[in-house]
Amino acid sequence: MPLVIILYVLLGTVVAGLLCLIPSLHIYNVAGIVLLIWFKVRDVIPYYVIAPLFMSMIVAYSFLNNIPMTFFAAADESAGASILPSVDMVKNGKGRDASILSGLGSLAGIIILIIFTPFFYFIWTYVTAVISPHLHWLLGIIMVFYIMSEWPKGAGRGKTPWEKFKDSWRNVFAGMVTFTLSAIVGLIVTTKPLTPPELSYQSIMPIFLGFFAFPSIIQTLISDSKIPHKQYKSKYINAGYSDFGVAALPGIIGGLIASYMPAVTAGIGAIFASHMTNHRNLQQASFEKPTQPGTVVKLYTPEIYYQQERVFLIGGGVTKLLYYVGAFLLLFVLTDLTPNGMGRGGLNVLLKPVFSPEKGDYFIMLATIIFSGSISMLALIWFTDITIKLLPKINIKKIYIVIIFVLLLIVYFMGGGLTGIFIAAVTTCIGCIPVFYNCRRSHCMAVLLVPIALNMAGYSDAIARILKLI
Amino acid sequence: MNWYISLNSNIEGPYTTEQIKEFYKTGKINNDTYVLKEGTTDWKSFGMTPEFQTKQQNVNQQKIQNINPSNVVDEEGLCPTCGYFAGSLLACPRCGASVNKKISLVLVKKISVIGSIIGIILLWYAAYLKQPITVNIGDIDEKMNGAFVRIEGKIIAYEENKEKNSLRMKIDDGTGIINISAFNKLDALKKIFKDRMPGIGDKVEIVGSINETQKFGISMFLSVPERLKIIEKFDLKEVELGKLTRKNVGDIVKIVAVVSSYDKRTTRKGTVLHSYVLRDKTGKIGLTLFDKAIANLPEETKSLFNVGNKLELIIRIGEYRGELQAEIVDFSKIVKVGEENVEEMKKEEGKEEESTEKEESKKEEPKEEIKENTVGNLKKSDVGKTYKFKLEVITLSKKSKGTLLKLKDENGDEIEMMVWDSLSNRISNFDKLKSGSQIEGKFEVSEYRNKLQLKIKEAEDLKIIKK
Repeated sequence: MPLVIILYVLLGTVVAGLLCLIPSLHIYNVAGIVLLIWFKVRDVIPYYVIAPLFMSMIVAYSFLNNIPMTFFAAADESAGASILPSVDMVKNGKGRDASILSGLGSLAGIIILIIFTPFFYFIWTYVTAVISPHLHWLLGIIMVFYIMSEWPKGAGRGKTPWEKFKDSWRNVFAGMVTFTLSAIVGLIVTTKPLTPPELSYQSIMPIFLGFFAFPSIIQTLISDSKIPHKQYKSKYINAGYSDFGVAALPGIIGGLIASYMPAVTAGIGAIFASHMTNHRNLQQASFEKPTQPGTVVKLYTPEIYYQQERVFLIGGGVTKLLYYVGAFLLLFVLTDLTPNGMGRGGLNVLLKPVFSPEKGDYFIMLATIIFSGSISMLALIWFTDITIKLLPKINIKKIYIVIIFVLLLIVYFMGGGLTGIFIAAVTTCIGCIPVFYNCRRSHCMAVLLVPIALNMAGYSDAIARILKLI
Repeated sequence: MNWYISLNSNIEGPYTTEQIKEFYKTGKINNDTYVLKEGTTDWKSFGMTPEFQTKQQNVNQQKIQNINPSNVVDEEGLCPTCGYFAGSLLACPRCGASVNKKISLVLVKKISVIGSIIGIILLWYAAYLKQPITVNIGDIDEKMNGAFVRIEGKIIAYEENKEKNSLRMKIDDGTGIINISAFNKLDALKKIFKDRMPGIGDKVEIVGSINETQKFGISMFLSVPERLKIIEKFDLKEVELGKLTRKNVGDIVKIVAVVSSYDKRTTRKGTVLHSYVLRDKTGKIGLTLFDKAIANLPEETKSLFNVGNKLELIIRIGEYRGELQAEIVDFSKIVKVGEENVEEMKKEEGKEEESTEKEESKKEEPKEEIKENTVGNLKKSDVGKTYKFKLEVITLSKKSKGTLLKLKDENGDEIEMMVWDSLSNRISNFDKLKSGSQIEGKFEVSEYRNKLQLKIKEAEDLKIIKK
């Protein structure tokens, strides 16, 4: 049995690792396809390998998706917000460093899981008992924070007071519009889903591809942006142990929030954590001009700035791993208070009908994470090197055009045919607002946040009546 | 042009371009060293600074800089890639993307806003018009987790929890059983139904979302009280056990019977079962209760099952290995109406059974005449009628609780038939059916999702004539 599990862990790591190299393809889309295959061959694949197989897939995704995210585009907001500084690093020819730093963050995330989760195992259940009755208003606070964190930008740009006002509040307003429209979509699709019943297990897929994948592709296709071909391959990654120490705290906070709170993604968690630990607004400040040639000035060197970037990337890697992998691991926390595990994250929703955890699975999962994570880290370095070699040769726009067709086929066949395409079209329009009006794309997460919070607070019926959907 | 360099976390400068190039040649700085042009605040690594790049690299850079400024910037001057303010620059100072667009950004912006609003209105209207599809409970599988559907069936178990203001029911539609949960909705349901609340045996229609877990099977959440409707109020009838046949499977009835025997046994898996036989003057029926179910009952209810007690109880007729079985639907409604001598009752019953068998063997049952038909001749008006068919199997697909057969008649007209596992287990050689096999039998015409289907009622109704 252990050998069979190891084989499937390897299979999951390789399949997810390769598929996740495709820009804009999210692990939950890949998991949906794998699940569909599993429905057909369930008599062949042993039941006990389901969890290790999907766990290895999500671990491999947490690592290897750093490559398309760094060099091309993020598949979703959670991923995008955790690798923000990589844009600057790619521009400076340090895309390889950025990709590997995020991977090292994820590796640190695995170490954190190994060290702390045996304690969490017992603590989480009590945390759940305390927090559960308050989740609705906690989610409400997250939403308010979220909208308020969209800080006015560009106040000094316009000439007249109206132009200044308009410039500074444009992105805040765009954020609110995105949030509201996404919330309405969420309320409609949760009250009266349009997806055919036979494909309901993938009903959220067209919505998310619309919110995150398609707008990224449109942006790339019309922006005429160029990825700097010259990327350096250094022998050493410019990061010290202190960077990991500094990055761990926001990473853990962001990861804990994202993995525990429903509908809160790693992106939102990372923003929360960076505000809480003051690692935010990585603006380049001017430095004090030396008066004499060779004069040493200690204030604000680019190393300090890039250390902040490194810390952000490592912290983002930690958050990402805790969000994707940690949330799925919570399913295996079986205690008297949580006899069926703590269902968190998209993978849990997908697997719930076909799999239920049993006592002892938790440690098999930890072993899977370590094994798959180690392979994925090596694969990340290897594939990053291949990517920087291929960068000058590939035409990313052509690749994206192919990806658009692949995603449309996925939506058509797995997301409800033309209905799925229609839903994806509407959410693509909404997803384009933050992209082109310069506000946070995570406002689109209101599609889950608002219906969940309203449902917890007991107001979902009232809203459904207002919308005349009852 | 003067430059500053950053070495070992210190800034040095200003130096001329030539000096910087000399530093590179001597190894004082390398491609990774950050350099800053005087008058700017944007640190770049030496290797990525155009002034220090090779000729070819500079040509590429020039291409970006030589673009005509008149057609470059959108009205806000934001970089279309990262949103950073690019002003009149031709390339974004933050991410380096060219702001020379092929498609108007303003147009894309307008499309995104207008498309969002029109799209949401259309989405709402589509949802407003959407009528949930009615599904068979037996058809629900893992892929339907979260599906918004309608089910119709009889309530076979009903439990109110006033403390939690919730309601739980079990619905049976003849193809399977589903649990219904209405959390925090009991008061709202009572407001709607007043004194006509749904109860055991009522035929109801429920619209809700399917929730399926591997551990607990399928259930449905009733989140909106208005989505529960009573189609037919149940009229509870008292029946004699002797009159029950297989046709009554699934029916909820009232019986008055004596507990005539009791047996406790343990299965191979260690589950403890309590088996009883209930008798009245006309016949008997088995009743099996799990140890867990007995353990949760109050003592006075447990004592009701003592042998010799005559009970009035509401049961659902079930079937196990071809024998009819009683399933108690509501323990709270069991009433003890007396006590009887079981031995005498058995003797009397034995005599009666003998004489009844003799009488029955003399009688010749009038046989129902069933006509032959073909698939092509079937119309919607045939729904509910039973015909004889000879059909060939085109495909078999295994579902979670049955097998869906795609069949064709001699004219090539196709139709589907779902054979539930509870029936197929009793059909001989059913597992040997394959594409090309031929079957015959009496099948009822039914309708499912606006398509005609065939339905098999009894295992004996289907015969395999060619494997």
